[in-house]
Amino acid sequence: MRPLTRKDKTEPATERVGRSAVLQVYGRYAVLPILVGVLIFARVEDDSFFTWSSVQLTLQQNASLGIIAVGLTFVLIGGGIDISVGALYAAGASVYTKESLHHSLPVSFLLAVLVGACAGIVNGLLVTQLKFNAFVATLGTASLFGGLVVVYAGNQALVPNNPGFGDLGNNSIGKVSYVVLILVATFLVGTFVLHRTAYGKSLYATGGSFAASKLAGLRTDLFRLSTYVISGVCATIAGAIYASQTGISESDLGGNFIALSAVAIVVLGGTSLFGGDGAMWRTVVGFAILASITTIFTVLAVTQPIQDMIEGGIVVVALILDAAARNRGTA
Amino acid sequence: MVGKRDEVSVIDDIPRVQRGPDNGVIGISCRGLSRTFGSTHALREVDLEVTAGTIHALVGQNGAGKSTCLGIIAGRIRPSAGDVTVLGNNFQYGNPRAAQTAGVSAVYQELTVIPQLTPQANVYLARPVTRGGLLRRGTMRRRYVDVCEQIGIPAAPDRPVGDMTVAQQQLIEITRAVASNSQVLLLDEPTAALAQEERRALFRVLAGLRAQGTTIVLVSHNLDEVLANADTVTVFRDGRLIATRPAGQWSRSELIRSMLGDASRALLEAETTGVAPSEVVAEAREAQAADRPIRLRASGITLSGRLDGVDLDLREGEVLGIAGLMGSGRSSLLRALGGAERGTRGSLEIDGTPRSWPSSPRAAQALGIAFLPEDRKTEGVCLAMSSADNVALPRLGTATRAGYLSPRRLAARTSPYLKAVGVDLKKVSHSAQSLSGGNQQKLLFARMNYLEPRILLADEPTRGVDVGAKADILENVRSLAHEQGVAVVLVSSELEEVLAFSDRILVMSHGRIAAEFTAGEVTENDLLNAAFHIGEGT
Repeated sequence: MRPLTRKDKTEPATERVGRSAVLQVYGRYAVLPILVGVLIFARVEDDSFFTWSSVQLTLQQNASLGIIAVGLTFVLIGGGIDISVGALYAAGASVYTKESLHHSLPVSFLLAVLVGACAGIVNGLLVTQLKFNAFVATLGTASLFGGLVVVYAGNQALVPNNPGFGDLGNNSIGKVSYVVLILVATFLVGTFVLHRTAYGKSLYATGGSFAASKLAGLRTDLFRLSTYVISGVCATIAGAIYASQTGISESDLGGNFIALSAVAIVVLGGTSLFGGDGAMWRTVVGFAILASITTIFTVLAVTQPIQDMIEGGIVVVALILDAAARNRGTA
Repeated sequence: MVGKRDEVSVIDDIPRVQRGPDNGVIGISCRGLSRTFGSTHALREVDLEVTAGTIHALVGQNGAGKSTCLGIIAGRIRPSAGDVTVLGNNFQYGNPRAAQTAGVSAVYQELTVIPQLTPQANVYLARPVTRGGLLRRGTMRRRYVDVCEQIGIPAAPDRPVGDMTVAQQQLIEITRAVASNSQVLLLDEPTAALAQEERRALFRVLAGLRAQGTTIVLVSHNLDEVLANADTVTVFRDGRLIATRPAGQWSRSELIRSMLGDASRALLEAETTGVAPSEVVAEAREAQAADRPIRLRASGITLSGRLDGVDLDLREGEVLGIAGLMGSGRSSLLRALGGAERGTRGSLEIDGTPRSWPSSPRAAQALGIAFLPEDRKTEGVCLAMSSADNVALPRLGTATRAGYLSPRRLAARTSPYLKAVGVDLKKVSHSAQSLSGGNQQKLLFARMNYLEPRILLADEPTRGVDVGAKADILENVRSLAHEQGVAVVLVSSELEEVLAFSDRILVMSHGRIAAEFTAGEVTENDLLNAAFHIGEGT
């Protein structure tokens, strides 16, 4: 009946080791056994899965998605979300292709990136200055940007005339293709910026404890805005690469499906939708899982609706785990 | 409607009802109630009996445990130990709905009326009058008017309650409680937001309800009001029940003395300073006698609804204490100075140079102002980040080289600051979440030191921390001012602290400075009188 033993010199609330701590650690790294399981399954179903050419093909086919996911990781850590990446992906492809008709390839590429950055600023201003809910704001701009792309590029496929247009997407250095190099470089740069710069640290603070960060004197609005610029740039780069890979660009490419898959990668890795919690390696793992599954689907000839269903199911489960972890944390 | 008198007779039929000392029926009985929040004891083994059909007031300083006690009776807070009996029924804890079913209704400071709905819709929110799933607006209106008549208040007009005054909204909440046949009505600071006339009207209503047999428990800071209107007054201090007496047997000064506890004051001073109070005062006088230059001069600080033209001078190396009740504007003043309140108007001079008012905490930092907010957990520390991160957060750039933020350099940079405030260095890499409240607060002090401020604004720096940490934190405040010449503003609900650590004390009330005192020439009573009397018109 008596409350607690008398301890007026209060004990810190740290020592909560035991079952819940073990569960929490397990929960934090649960994504790793899932990756191993998926890889084993892939190996069983497809003998050639681990050959270099197969791995490279898997990476190439999903590289665009991976690059978008890196940008989205920044947005999610900063406490936001960006649904417009699908439209910006199409914008990247269209701008890169159409501008290459009368500009050099580097100039076209830079123009595409610039478009992504500007779109990111628009998203960021809506969220930080007009205080729109990030989901609704970027859902709206997704339609806006998508429509602008169609107006800009016309309603039919653009066919590039520059002979070197496909180099970016299809050439390689030795056995490693440019695309895989760009993907790996994006992961590395993303990791460095997020985990080893003052900017990255401030982003975690902003996403995790907005009020505290603001009162600590951080430029929280600028940090949040910048994440949308990063994600816009990543999405347009991904679009340009895709256009180069396929040698064709359609203005209705991607759409919300791309956005959903990219969010799936980030969330599947274990980065929280609630901000301030996550890591770049998680996005890499999420990417590996989703890319492997897509490849197995192709090998097993799973139809598209079933693929969508399974992918959607995975995202829902990842979200449930995220919400559960959050509820445990606050309880 | 069911008459209240009937309910009293129903209570008499319950065999388990106990008889109190004056033969009154025990309405609420709490036995051995304790509640801890993390490492703080909000309530320690409280036994409280409330006689049915009386107005019972709970008083005490902020954090004394009175609101926690009320919250437990309301079923909103689950006690760590002990139990509650309401009208002879044992009570299911931590379940507001069960409490309501048991006849207990609570009206909190944050009103729960829905602004878009009409009075009657609000009153019948949980139990709407329907037929075949359709709302019967006419019937609800009629019943609402009936209940208002029963209570003796004019029925509020049939329009959204969002357009009405706080006092009217509060009456609608009370009406809701009566309409749901509540026999126990709990009120947390019911008069804090009301004007003088509205307060009187509210107490007339409460007296009327008492006459109909309703048991009323209220928490209040307004001692005069309590003495004039309550039947019984209970004083809480440091989570303990100090005394319960009929209102007639209390005097104002006795209440204040019980709330403060002279013994605890001496203890606090001995523990925190290690110096006798008189020496502290002497030192304070000395500091002031030096007649240091004015570091910050702010005038006409105005913030809509909260600050009403405050003027403030702050000298180098001085601790300026600000006392006042909750809602008196003391926190708003600090937030305004710290750049945390947009829409603040006023003019600012720092070291004699006119400056534009800081529009953000960052702008305030650029002026050398560091602000330590009151709400440590949501506005202070970033809970998920490490101690080192938290300390360096506003100046992370200082730990980077060519853009590279080295964790080792960050730890090396911050550890002297953490050591200085007494945080265990073994815990530097732990997330702030895992630290106790006291250590989190020390972390924030380390951050303040890291900023090397010229002006420090500390809002309730010792709230919710244990005695040991309290001493460290206050010592830190003192050394910043007296040794490093920082100008410090200290806001605290604990008057002993303000008295012991300030060189000069302002008392705020209703968004204005109500009085100014020099340390050593003032007692807690003076401060309380200044805080209570102004705006009361007495």
